[in-house]
Amino acid sequence: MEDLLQTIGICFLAGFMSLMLKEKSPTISLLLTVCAAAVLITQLFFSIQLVIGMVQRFSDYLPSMDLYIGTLVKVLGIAFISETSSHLLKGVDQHLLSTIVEWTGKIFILIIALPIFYELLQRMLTLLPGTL
Amino acid sequence: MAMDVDTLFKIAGVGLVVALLYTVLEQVGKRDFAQWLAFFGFLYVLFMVLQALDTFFTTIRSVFMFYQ
Repeated sequence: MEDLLQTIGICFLAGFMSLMLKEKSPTISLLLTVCAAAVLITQLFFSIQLVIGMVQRFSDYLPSMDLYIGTLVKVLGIAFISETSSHLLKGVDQHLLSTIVEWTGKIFILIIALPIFYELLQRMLTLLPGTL
Repeated sequence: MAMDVDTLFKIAGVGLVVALLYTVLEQVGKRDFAQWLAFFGFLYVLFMVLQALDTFFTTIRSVFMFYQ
């Protein structure tokens, strides 16, 4: 709870400082917002690490699913990094670049996750009669 | 969870000083100097932001097991 309040407080602080700078030096004001976002999200990762550790503990119970859980965590990482970067770029008014970052993230998620779909498809085919 | 608020205050301070000096230099008539000052202030802040982004990306790569 303290961390949440701290984050909200720092967001307000950065917002007010950015508002103060907006009149005179708009570029530095934008960079201040971006820096605040980057710093706060980096801090958030120490909490996300706990969640990832719990997901890893699930994989201890399911040794055959180890590969899938690793892929799942990687997909989660790509989704997070591309979403955050795209929003950071939207924050500095670069909508075109943010769209490109989003699509790159989607394609790389597909590249990582398609082997799993392939394996799923193969398992489903083994269930169908007459395909083996 | 120790927040890195110093960087934010540093950026805000640099922004304020640059804005102030820009106004003063423009009033004095040194518009050329003022624009260089704004440019270098921007570069300085940009380096700080890039450091924060670098920390962010490194943390993501270590948390989501991309080094394995």
